[in-house]
Formats: sequence, C-alpha cells, structure tokens
Amino acid sequence: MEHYVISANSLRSGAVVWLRVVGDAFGWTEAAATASVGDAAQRDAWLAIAEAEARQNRVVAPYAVDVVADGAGGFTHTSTRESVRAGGPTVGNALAR
Amino acid sequence: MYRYDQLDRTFVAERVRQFRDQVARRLDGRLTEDEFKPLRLQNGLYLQLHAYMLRVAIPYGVLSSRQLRALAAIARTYDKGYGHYTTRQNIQFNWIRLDQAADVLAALAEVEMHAIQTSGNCVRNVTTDHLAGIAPDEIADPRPYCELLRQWSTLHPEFSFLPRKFKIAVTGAEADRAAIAVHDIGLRLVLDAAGAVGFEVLVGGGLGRTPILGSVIRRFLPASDLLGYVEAILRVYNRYGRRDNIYKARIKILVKALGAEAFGRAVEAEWQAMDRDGMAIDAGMLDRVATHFAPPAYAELADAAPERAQAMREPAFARWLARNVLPHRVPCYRAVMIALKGGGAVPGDATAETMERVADLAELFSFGEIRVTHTQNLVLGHVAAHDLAALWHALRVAGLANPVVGTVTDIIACPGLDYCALATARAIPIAQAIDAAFADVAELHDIGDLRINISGCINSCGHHHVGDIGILGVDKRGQEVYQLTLGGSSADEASLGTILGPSLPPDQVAGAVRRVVDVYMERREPGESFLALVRRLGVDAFKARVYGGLEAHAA
Repeated sequence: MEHYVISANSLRSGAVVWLRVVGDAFGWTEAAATASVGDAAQRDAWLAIAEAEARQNRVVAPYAVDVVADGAGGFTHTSTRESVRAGGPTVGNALAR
Repeated sequence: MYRYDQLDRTFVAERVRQFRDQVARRLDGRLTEDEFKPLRLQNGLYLQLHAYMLRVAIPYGVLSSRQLRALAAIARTYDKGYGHYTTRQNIQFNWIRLDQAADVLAALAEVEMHAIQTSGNCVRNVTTDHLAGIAPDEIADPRPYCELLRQWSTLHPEFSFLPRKFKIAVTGAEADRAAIAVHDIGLRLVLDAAGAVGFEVLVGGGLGRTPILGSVIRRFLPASDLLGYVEAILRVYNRYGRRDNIYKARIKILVKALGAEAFGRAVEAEWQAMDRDGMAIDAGMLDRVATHFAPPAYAELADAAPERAQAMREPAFARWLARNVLPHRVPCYRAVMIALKGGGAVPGDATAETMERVADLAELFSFGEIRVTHTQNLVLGHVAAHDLAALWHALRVAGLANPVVGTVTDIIACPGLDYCALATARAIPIAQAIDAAFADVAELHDIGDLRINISGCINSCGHHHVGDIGILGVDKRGQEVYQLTLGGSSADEASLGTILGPSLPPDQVAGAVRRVVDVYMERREPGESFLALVRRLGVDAFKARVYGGLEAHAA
C-alpha cells in the first residue's frame, strides 16, 4: 500500500515542515519523525488542508511525499532527495551548528 | 575598488525599502506567493531544498576587508555562521529567514553590496579573471569594463525579462582564467596592430544540458564600442531567442540554430542601426570608472625573492609557495591564493571566523582587498614578497595555508543535493571522498595541475564539462550515481569532456579518479598536462583501467 506525508516550507522562516494531524486538529512540525503518515485517501484530504494553509500564508509549496510506512506510525523516505531534505545537509558546516 | 556614488546609494537603499515592504505584504497576505516569488527572486532570495537562500553579488569577485567582515557578520547574525562562494564569484547564505531578509539586504547596502540580478532572466554578475590588475600577462585591466557593464545592465528596462539568464565573463590577460568560452558572452581584451585596446567577442558558450563553446563573432571591437555592441547582442537574443522551452532558451541555442556567422551579421546590423555615438564609452567615462581600480600604493621594494631563502629551510613553506603563490606584475609583490579546500572542507564554504581572519590578513598584508575566484577560493592580491613568510604563518595558524591550489583536491563543487532544490545528487561528499583519497600533499605536488569539477545535476553549476576530470551526479531510480568525463577545459583551447563510461555509485567515484590519475602518472611524458595526455591517448586508455574488474552500475 502506498503511503504519504505532507511537507512544505514555513513562509516566515523557510524551514522544512510536515503536517501532523490528530483527530480533527492539525499543525506543522519541523521534526520529520512526528509527521503524520497517511494512505492515498488521507493524502488528498491532507493536501487540501495544506493548500488551505498556504492560502492562509503559513506555509509555501506544500506537496505529498511518497514514504514507506513502518506500521507503527513511523516511516522512511524512498528517495535520497527527500531524506536529505528531511535530515538536512549530510556534510559540512551545517552539521556543526 | 569601485565605490558607490550618491546615485548608487540612493538606488540600493530604495530597493531595500521596497523589498521590506514587499516582504511585509507577503507575510500579512496582501501578496500571494505567485505575486511575491518574482519579487524575491529579483532580490536574490530563492527557496532551496531546506530554507531560503540569499545569493549576494560580488561584482567581478572583488571585496574589501570591510565588506568581507560584513558578510561574516551576516553569516553569524542571520545564518548558521557560514557562507558559500560560488563558481560565479558570488556568495550564498543558505539559511536566511524571510522575515529577516530585508535586514540582510540593509546590512549589505551599508557596505555597498546587494543581491539584485543574482536570479532571474537578466544579466547576472559579470565575472572576470581573479588576477585582474595583478597578472603579469595582462593586456589591460578588465575591471573598469566589468563595472561599466554592471552599471549598463543593472535594471536595464529592455533586458529585465530575457528568454533566460545571461552571463558575461571578461578577461584582460593572455591566459584565460575567466572561462570566457563557456559564457553567454565572453570578452577578451586584445590590442590591434596600432596598439589600441579592444575586445574579441565570443557568444553562445554555456554548460548545462547542452554544453557549447562560444563562437567568435568579432575579432576586434574597439573598447569604446563595448556597451553598444553588447546591447546589440542582447537585442538580437531578446528578439529571436526561444521562450517556448526553458531548455532551449539560452543564447547558445539561438547561436547554434542560426549559425555563428548569421548571428554575428544580425548583431552587426542591429549595431549599425543604433545610435552608436550615444552608446560610446568616452574617455572621461572610462577614466572616471578606472580611477576606482587604480593600483594600490605599492612600496618601493628591491626586486628580490626573499622567500627563497626561507623556502630552503621550510619544506612546508616551499610547498605553499609552489602552489598558492603567483607572480605579480609588480616584481616584488605576489598574489596569494587561499584554498577553501582540503582537509574535509566543503569546497567554497567559509565560516564567519574564516572570513574575519581573511579580512584582517588582507588589511595587514594586501591593502584590504580580497578576490573570490570562480574555482571557489580567495585571493590576497598584493602581498609584498618579504611578507610572505609572516602571512604563511598566520594562514597556517588559521588552517588556511593548504598548499593545494590547482591540484586534484582543489575541487570545484556545486552545493548539490545537500542544499539545492534542483540537484539530483550530492556533490560535496564526492569532493570530500576524493580529498581523503589524495591526502598526501607530496603526491598532489607530484601530480601537479589537475582540475576536478563536480556538478550535482545537469545544470552544471560545478562546471563538470570543463574539468580535466568532470563528475556529474544524476538520480537513477532514487539512487545517486556519477558519470565521469575526461578532457574538459575552460581555459584557452577550451574543450568539453568526453564521457568515460557507465555511471558509478558514490562509493566507487574516488577509486575511479585514483585509477584515472594512475594512468596519467604512468603514461605522461615529461611536462605533459593531463589534458594533453587525454587528447593524445583518447579516453579508452583510461576506460580500460577504470572499469577493469569493476561491476558497472546499471549502464
């Protein structure tokens, strides 16, 4: 089964953020591990939330990211690009700070 | 160096004020992202893989100590304490918050800097030889012409929405250190038979997915006609360049489609039809700008080589002299290169502390001036020969005396997938792996000049097509793989590299480079460059060694 998380950037800071949905409530988190993992149906509903958030000027450029769910609410990324985006630069000065 | 006049100051301050207002309107929702994006890009602010990135223009790569300290302060206050020098002599800050971006621009304006035209389909930062005004082989100083081009192109109403971005490089020396053949316009200062200064004009060079070397469309253009002629080139491009396909929109595609001769004729016709006198650079105009680039007050020193005696006693100093110190047109002065490379460094990265230290050393030893090279290093351009030992000691303490300039580990690398939203693979870890595989400085010196350039995608910001060894990272089904090319060069007799063979996984790249270098070391004739050997042997001689016994990765 296909799984997804919803990601975007904070408008104000530019930081990479993920959508976290709990019941009817939702918010944006900078910790990838706490992103909500959804199936295809949830993806569409959550993307609609994210796009509304973009219209409310809280985030920019939201999109759904393919992930592999671990069944316990966690996930791993399927591409190097997304795992680097989630984890930050893999080398250099960014690591020291 | 060039100093802003009242007009420049007012203009830049006004732009900062406008951008502050635009950001405020974006944050409170009066501007949508679609409305705001072009405005932020016009001020050099990109949204990258992790965050907003601000690209700051360093006109033709020249900085004062005061400016470098301001960049350090920006790195410390608004970023994560470091910046990244690019292959276009600019600096990028990777972690700028949108709600602080106008403050950064204000801090830049304080030291006569900005980020205008570092993005968008306009004329970008004009680049030049990092040894401009210094090199013994210089015909004329290109910087006054670069500055005139900068003034002419800044917010030029006709050329603010070109089909695609537009890059101009100028060299004033016999040896091309500015890679003019791979720019949209390449300009080479030349003298005619009567000794008058003019330009050889190349157009249509570029890298990216369609690498092409520029074609000469004019052997000699009187220097006073520079702006009119460049304007004519831009007009022809603006009118006929493609806008339907981003991959075919650069001027190189138009020049190739029309043929360089026909393109040149169109430019000549446009030029003949314009008010050429009105566009001419008169002597007063040139002198006014050239004053800013007058040589510093060199001391009257004996023409000696005081560094030689010490080099006899200090092998490490001798190695640094051999690789990082270059001759100066004033005999008792030298140009000193500071490699932002080696020892696990990220090519082109500098911390705030490094920038401040270099700014201090420039003030002490080099008239407070620093240059940024397109190979992502720094230069102290005017060091008295008798100060070299003292400077070397100071650089060594700061970890900035790595004697590797021009060697295998002086690698050009774009930020790659560690930072860039366009990248398809990482470039920095590959540079670091090669760096680790060639840690022996004596060996590096034995190998000698060998340029390795790494790009993390086909856009080729890492100039891989023109490296002796070029490395291109691509994504293959979510995995990073790397394609090697051999025999590229951006210097005189420029050439594009030839693909060596199937792509390699990341952990095999440094080993492949090692085997390529082994072939060079075994087969070279005395004094033969890597490029000459590749041209003599062809890539197959290298291919057999690299792929022998190696499982190629999904050819």
